[in-house]
Amino acid sequence: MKMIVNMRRILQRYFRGIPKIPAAILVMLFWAAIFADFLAPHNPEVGDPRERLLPTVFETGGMLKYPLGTDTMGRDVLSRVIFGARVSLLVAFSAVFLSACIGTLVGICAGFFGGWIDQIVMRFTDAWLSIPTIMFATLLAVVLGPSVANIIIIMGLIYWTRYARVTRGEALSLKSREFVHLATIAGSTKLRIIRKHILPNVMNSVITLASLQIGVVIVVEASLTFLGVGVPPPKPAWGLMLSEGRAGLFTGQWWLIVFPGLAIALLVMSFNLLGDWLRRRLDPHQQSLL
Amino acid sequence: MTSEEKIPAIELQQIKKYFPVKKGIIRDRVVGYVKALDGVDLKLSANEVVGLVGESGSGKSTLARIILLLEHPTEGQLVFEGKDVITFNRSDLKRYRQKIQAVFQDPYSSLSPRLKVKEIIAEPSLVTGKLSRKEIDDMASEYLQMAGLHAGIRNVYPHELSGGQRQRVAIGRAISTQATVIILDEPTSALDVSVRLQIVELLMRLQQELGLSYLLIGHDLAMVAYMSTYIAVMYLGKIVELTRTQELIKNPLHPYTRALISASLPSHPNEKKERIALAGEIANPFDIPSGCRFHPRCPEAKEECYHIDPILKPFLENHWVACNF
Amino acid sequence: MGMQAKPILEVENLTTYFSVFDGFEKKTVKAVDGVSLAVTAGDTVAIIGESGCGKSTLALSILRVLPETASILSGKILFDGEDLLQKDRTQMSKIRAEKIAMILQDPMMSLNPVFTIGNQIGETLYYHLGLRNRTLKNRIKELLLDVKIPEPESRMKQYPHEMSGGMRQRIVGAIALSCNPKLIMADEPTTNLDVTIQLQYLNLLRDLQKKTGVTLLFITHDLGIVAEMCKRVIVMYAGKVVERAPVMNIYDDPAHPYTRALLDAAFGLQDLSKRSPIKGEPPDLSNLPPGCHYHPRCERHMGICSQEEPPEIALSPDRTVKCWLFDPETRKSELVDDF
Repeated sequence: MKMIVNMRRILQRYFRGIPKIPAAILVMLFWAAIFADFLAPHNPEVGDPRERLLPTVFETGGMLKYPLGTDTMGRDVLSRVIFGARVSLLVAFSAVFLSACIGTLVGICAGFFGGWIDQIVMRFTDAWLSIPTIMFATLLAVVLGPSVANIIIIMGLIYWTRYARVTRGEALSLKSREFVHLATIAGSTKLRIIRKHILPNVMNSVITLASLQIGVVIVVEASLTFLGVGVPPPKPAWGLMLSEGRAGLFTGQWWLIVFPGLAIALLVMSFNLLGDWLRRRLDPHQQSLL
Repeated sequence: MTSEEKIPAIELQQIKKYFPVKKGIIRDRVVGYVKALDGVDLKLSANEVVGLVGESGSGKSTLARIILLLEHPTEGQLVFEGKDVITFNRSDLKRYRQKIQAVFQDPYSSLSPRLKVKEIIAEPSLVTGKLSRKEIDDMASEYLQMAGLHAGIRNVYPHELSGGQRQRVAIGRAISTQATVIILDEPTSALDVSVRLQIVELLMRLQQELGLSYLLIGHDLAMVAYMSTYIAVMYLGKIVELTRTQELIKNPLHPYTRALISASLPSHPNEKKERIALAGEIANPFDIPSGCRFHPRCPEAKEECYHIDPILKPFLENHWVACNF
Repeated sequence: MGMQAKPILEVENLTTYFSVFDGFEKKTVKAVDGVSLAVTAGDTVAIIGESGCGKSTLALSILRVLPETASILSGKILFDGEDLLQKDRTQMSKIRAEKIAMILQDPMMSLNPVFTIGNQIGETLYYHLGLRNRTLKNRIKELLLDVKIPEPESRMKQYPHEMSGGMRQRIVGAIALSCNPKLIMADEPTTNLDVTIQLQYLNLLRDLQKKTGVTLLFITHDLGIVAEMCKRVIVMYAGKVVERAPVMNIYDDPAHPYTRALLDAAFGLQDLSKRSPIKGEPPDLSNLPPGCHYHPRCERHMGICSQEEPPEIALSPDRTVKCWLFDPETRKSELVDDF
């Protein structure tokens, strides 16, 4: 009994004010991603061509067997959407993680060490930032070849600059705070100071930034996949579903586009709202509890 | 400067610290120097408290930073236990870092916000070697209690503590490495009035129990006088007077010291004070007057004072003054 | 309270509470809890107490410039006989600066860094007194000279960051004086100033008071300022007034244990003997101890102190104290002996 009460308090404390609907949506999508194998009624990659282009169950011609209809190759749209969640979330989180790691490392070094290191690093960052994203991604994708791993790497390489900017600023201001001086006075090496003092204190900003970036990455991944340079078929990716189903808009097969599009929209919106909540929550003006 | 038998723990010899001021866009021209410290001699011996008073621009904070090796002196020697700091090898430096600690003014930025109190206290010791969880725990409990706090506090984060409690944690950390010298930079200025004396009492108790040396920097002459055996008065980067506390109050020699003492507010409405009014503003260390740096504001300035910059010399027994008279 | 002179400011039972979020609950901070006081015109009065006792909130309540999270729940603030809490926004606007002015602790916060100081002084004169052009400029120069800033012509064109701390605080003083207010409240005006500059500033305020007869209300924790400048003292603790008396009484014969403890804990150059600190920490205003709020830290607390709030007892026509030690009934029952 006590355990449950404790858990409740912890939940209350950490998740105070969390926007309920986005949180619920995300939880659902996460479930879908993790348990896709059990939740999806059909195989997302192989379909029955005899049952292609069936409409949703709510329309004439639709079947309960395929509640959201089927695509041009007879694959169940619902299953593809569910499995698509897995792909999108996997790519998004990995890419964000990669870019956060690179960016934070770069930013802390620039901010903490200052001087010419700072100058060089920041000019490099500026240059990198000026490269047009989609074009660069496309170029890299063509060079490296389309695959899930590659697209993660590509997006990690593109988006690290934001983190670098933010962490550099924070490291710069933290560097002059007294507890850092005191660590130096106690004989701490620079590496140790970074590890124990700078890093934990920039984590708040990094996490907030990351949560807001996930939405961006999802959309970009979908765009790249749509263009054909992202996740390769026959993997069920929402971007692919959009590109394959594009023609369906004009021939009345709206379910091919609407459901994956809706999924993307809901995911991105939920992450954005959640990221916003996280940002307010972790604001140093509030007593932060992480 | 104390009696001959005591060995100075730290000695400053003619320390100068000039910060260059640069102008220009492409090629930085040095247009002048901010002379934060302009020839400071000071000895800090074992088991004594030396107070350093001065107003803004006096250089007292810069002096602290130099002793703490956060800055290098432009000229002069910093000598620790007989050895010049410049000649230190790795292990000398390590030892120095363990023996000299500091407590700063702002309890809110002195403690790392993401570390628990026990990690904060153990930090200076962890620098020299690993400690087991139990060792950290025990160490934190021990020093927290010495600082007058409950040992249970070791598991909380700084933001849950009040200013007074945080300062105690900072003090606990400072003594955790068996330091012999602690630099206190305005340790109570940011605290509530009712808590200040508590912290002062704590510091004094620890000083006696552990035989520490303090360099106490403050702007409140009364508080510094309460704690210190010797007081050095600084003005614009130089020490202008240095003597025992009682002597300084009873018999201040330098005009600036006299002005400072007379400017301090009374303890009772009936305390009649003869006030010495100083002309002008606090001087700027960028633009130090020629000759004696105090002469533009000195009510007793004479002809020589425009030209000669006096050095700190003993005038009376154990009483040094830097004045042309 | 001087019976002869009319009080220029009379606060009756003022209560101001803040609502804050802390972690996961909403808390009420009782910043000012039933405070009454009176200030005679032309007098120099100090409200002392440590941070968090409510003195700053009291000042902000009088001027009615409280932040959104605060609200005045009850009481009256009579200035020159009129209740300020009944005034509307336009009326209050006029009262601020023209009748009551305030000087704050940090001049860098009070002055806008992107405007010249001439502009900032002029702003008040422009909006409140309607001065223009030459009259305006002359008045600004006059004010600068009043606060002993030489070469006002050139100073007027300078920016705050070009001046020293002491000068900036004097500018703040000039702005406060600009419309000849009847009351100036100064909240820790010299905390950020160097010792010698502090003295200059206090002397300046004293001279200005002699010249204009303005009433000065100091809000401070520094007993030195009280001894130097003030005639009457009001001691606050945890949102309540615990003692009020003429300054001599406070120093020679403090009644409330808190006042006594404050005096004992203060440093003085002439007396370097050992002192005893006040035990405990300043209270959490959202979670105050029951009964007398000071009792956990009080040397002389009795049983009743932790149960019931003490009444305010008049020790003489111009002294009151809020403490059970002075209640005749309690004295008998608990056999209290005099200090």
